[in-house]
Amino acid sequence: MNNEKYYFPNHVINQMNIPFTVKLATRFPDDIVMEQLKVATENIDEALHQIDLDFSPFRYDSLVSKYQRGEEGPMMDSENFQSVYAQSILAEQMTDSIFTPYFAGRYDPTGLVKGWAIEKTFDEFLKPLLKDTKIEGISLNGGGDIKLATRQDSDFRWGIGIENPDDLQEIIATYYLKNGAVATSGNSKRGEHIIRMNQNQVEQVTVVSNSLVDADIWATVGISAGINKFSQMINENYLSGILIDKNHEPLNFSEGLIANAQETSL
Amino acid sequence: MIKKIAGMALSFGVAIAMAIDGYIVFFKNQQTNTAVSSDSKTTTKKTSKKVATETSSGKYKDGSYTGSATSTRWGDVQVQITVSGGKLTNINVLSSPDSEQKSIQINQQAIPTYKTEAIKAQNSNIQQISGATETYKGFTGSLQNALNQAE
Repeated sequence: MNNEKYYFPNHVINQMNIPFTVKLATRFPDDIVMEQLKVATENIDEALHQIDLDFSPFRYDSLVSKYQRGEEGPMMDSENFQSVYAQSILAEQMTDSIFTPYFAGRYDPTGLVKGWAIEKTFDEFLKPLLKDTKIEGISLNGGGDIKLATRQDSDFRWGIGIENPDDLQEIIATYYLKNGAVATSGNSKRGEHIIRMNQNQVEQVTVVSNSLVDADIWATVGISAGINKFSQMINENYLSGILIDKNHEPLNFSEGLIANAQETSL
Repeated sequence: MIKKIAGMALSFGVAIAMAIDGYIVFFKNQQTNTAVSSDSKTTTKKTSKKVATETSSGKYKDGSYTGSATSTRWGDVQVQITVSGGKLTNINVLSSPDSEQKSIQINQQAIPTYKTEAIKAQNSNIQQISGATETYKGFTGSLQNALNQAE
């Protein structure tokens, strides 16, 4: 990180009962930058609201509910539904069915939709902001799952703190990233219909990837698979991230290789 | 030059005519679908392809429909839908694995710095927090909110 001062103007959205932080990195937080942030935030807010209407299994008229009732419209007419469906089925296959988009016998992609929604709205409404040379970085954090990017010619890196599950006012580690996605899953995470394979030995899993859907699925799977099965998956799928076991020890894995994390001073 | 322009205009006209024709044949009662398809998108590739083989009495034409491809870590995925007798009879998910899937480039050093610390929001190098707690209700007291206030 260099000495030049960055500003991080941001807005918070409440959708799906989750806080979404839209945040920019800039050296010049002038009116034009602030206006772009405002417009992008409004667009993201609106899009997330529509995604909630379309994908909530609790709404009678959602695409998911219609599909559950055997209606053909969602699959035939909605490109978004097709995209979510295809990714959810693939995720099920790639994770040996530990992630499943079925709940109580019905199709319910809730565990995938949030990551997909963040990724989609980020690409659609935030990425164009990087055309402005005053904007060095863009990020969207939905309840702890983050998509981020920086200008190609920028030195700026996003500092992503990984929450300490035992003390939410603390972080246990920091990633400095230019582009990508970070997702963290814990025992208390809601909205995911995960089946625990083993007695749970894993307290929290963070996965770093290019794709947030990918990171989110693997973080979820890491919680439910149990430490042995997940270690094997880390190797086979070249995963990167941090696992915190029940002894509160962080285990670092990078590109599929697992190493004991060492506490280092900054 | 003029010939070239005229040629282009002509082929453009033909393309429009084909599009309208296609619309009438396949999408007469699915206006929303075409509206979505003409949208500009960054995440999906425009490979949406619909092949109808015969007509039927149902809402949808019989045939095989392929949705847009979405890029994933494991390559592109898309749905393939089969309609027969006007009914949706089968859904397949097609994936074309990316040969480079084993060298996922995150475009940075993905090794974290480990240090347990309470963050001072005012002079922190951290802007976003990744964690498992996620309801809006508890947001006010969160570390993320403190960082947001610091701007």
